[in-house]
Amino acid sequence: MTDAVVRFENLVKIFAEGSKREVRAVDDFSLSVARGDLVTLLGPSGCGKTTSLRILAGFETATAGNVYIDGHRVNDLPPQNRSTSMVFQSYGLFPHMTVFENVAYGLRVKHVPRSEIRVQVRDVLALVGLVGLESRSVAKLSGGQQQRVALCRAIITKPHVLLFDEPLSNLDAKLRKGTREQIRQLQQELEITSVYVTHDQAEAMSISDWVAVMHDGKLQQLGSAEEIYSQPANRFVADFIGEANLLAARVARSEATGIAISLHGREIALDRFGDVFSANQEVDVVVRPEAMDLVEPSDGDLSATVRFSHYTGSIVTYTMQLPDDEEISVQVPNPTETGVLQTGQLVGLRLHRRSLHVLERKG
Amino acid sequence: MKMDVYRRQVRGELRRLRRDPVLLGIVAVIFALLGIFILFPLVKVLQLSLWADGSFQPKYFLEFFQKVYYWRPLVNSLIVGALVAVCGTTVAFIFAYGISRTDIRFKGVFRLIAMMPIVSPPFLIALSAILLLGNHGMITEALNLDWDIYGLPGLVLTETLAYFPIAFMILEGVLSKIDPSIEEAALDMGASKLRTFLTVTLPLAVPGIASASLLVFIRSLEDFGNPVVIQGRFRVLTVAAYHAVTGRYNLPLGSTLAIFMLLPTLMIFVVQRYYISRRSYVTVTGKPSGIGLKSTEKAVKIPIFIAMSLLSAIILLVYGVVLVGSFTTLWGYDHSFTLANYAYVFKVGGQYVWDTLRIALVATPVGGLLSILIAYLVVRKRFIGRGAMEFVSMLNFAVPGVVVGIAYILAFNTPPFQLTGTVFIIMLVFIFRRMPVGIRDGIAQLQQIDPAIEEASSSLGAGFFRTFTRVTLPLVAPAFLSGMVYMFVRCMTAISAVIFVVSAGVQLLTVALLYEVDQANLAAAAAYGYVIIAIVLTAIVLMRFVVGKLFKGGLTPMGGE
Repeated sequence: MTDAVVRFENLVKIFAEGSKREVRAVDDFSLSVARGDLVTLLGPSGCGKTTSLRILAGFETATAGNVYIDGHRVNDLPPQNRSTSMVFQSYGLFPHMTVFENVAYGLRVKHVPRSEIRVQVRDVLALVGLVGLESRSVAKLSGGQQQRVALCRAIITKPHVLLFDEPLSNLDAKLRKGTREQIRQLQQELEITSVYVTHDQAEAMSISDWVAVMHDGKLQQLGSAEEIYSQPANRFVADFIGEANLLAARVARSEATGIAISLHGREIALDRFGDVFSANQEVDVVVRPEAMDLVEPSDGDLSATVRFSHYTGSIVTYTMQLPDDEEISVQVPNPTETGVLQTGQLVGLRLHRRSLHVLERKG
Repeated sequence: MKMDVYRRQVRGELRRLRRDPVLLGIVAVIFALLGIFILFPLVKVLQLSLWADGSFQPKYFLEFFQKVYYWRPLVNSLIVGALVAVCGTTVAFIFAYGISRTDIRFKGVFRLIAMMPIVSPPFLIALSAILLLGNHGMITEALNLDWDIYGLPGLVLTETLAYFPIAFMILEGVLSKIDPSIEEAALDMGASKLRTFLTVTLPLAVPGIASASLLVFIRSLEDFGNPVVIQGRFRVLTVAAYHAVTGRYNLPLGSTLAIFMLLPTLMIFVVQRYYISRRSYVTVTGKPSGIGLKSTEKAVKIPIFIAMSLLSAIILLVYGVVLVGSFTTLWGYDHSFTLANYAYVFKVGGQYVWDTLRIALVATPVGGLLSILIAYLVVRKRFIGRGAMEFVSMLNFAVPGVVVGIAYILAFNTPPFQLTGTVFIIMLVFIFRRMPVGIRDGIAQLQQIDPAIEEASSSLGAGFFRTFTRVTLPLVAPAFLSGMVYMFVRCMTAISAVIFVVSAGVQLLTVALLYEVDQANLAAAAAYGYVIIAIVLTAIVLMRFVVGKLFKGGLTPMGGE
């Protein structure tokens, strides 16, 4: 990929190498980010996403592997000499400076003339609606305002790559959504290549061009939000992105046009995966809780007993028990219309064919 | 395999240092300074005591245990140290408990009085003890007593008063951080208040008590000012070493005594640093709710209040009598009011005042900046030898002043670093002896500042120098300035190390004070003491004012939740 602005190549980061506390934070991680794209590194805490980002920024050094920005290897370049800017989780604003001084800092470092700085700071503050607050101390701003100052400070120097380290995790839920949209809008308007780290899958899926799911320092899957949800590459991704029921099954038949899987004694025909699985292969079927309908016990692909219901207004989530004691989670929208099932009731579940995904069973 | 990993790490480190030449330069300079002004003098001490005429001859080491004249001072020092540690920590605990865990009145006054010994030359207390309890002391004469304050009782009394404030500061910090809800939990489960205190509060404070008493022990062990005034025939090690060097010009003997002083303090330093400090429970307790066991029972409150009042009265008496003494014609004989002592101090000692101020005013900012720079490197930067830099720079915390003094004479008497007789050697003593406290405070400060703030700076293109001066320094400025006041105070009141390096050309107020005591000119000595106290108080008030003006409202480093 020649137009990749950012490229991780077999990146490895080991902390406390050689000691008892040795941790392999990033393990053979490779990823390319194309110009103007926003790629999210998504994963649970300790998956290596923040470490990878900090290696890209220059705050950590890679144990092995390479990092390229604009085609140049930057492994040994200090942070100040890289064309990256970071928006920090804690904002990292200079508490002894005003809004103006914070935003102007990067330009002053570059010896931009005073008059030019004033114009540029004004312009960038206008983008996020902070004009008029220039002489405020940043300590006196609200969390959302501080966040936007941090964003302005990072974009004013026109970095080639903008880095976000969980920038929304210190905001309350309502602000988070608005700021998320604002970041995405700005990023697309200014066409800044961005790498965004978060553990919040909803945030990742709504903001990104591409989502890179990470676990144990390794890349699990790279894809669009839709791809990682509907076609998870493995059990971890299926489980981590949204909620998933993983049901053990066997491939009954496999043909070019599709396969038939045997699930709890019934066969379900699917018009795909013919080139992936062969007959008699053990598989896991990924069934999303919302991807099934409640039917009469005799009409369903599966029959199940209601064990527990969790009513939250817009949906009701059931924990049901399958004949082999396996549990399955089922979501039914708008329960006001259909009513809530009683514990112990026997129901049939009809699976949505197009939403089903099949994974090879390992181990 | 392991070797490979190590080699790769070293290579990586070198690469990283090379890409940041400013950092590399600063690290190199600091290592050079630490080597020359901390390690080199200590090596000289070792060398002189163990080698003679180019061969290994530990003459005085072997004699040390054979001659009672040599080992007795060590035993005496340890006895005094142990007694002072027990007494000082007990007094400190009463004060700390009263102030942090009860609702007694006049806490502010008590705290102020408890801090008084910190801002005065420590051995002013010995002077006061003589004025009060000496052969012609006020109390001695009033009660017509026949006793001898010189010796063990005088040493324990004066050093307890001089060094309990250090223990008080530690214990107050520890006690006030113990989560009251833990005590409430014990009460809730039916424990009595006494049982709660004995089974919950006290055990939680044990690490604090241990470090406090060890620190007092070290301070007592290395105290020179009080013993030289009041030890009488109960010879302690610091004074013995001083006499060996300045009285008998026997440097190898002085060095050997210095090493015997260094061993226990160094051992305690290591124990404190690597053992006790890791056993502190305070930092892992739950969220302090801020509301303590404030309504204490009278049965607890009244005895504590009485004890604190009595101790405060003693401290006030100690300082009051020196003040009165400084206006007295001839203590013990003619108690009429006079200003002659101050006139004398400014006539004879005017030059000393100026010299002392000049040296302190240079040493303080230089030492302060160096401390904060080292603290910054240690906390924020990764480089080879970072641990070594921290250890060596903190080493002088454990090295008694007398040892530093002897070491500096040995190291800087001859080329290549010939500095004796100059003001520089005094400045250097101040800088490198006071640095550990500055570094420790700097480290604590920096650890409270979100690293993202500095990372943001470098992410925006600022190099090491700009980030340090524009971001780090302003953020630590308030604490930095207060730290400098402490350093200045210590420069004004120090005696043990500098007494070895002062010369006819450059004199210090503390040394002049000691000289007057030696000449039995107690009134003049008292006047010197109050001149020092006046300068120190002025500096403190001035700095409070400046910090208050500059940092109105205070800076709160921002960070995540």
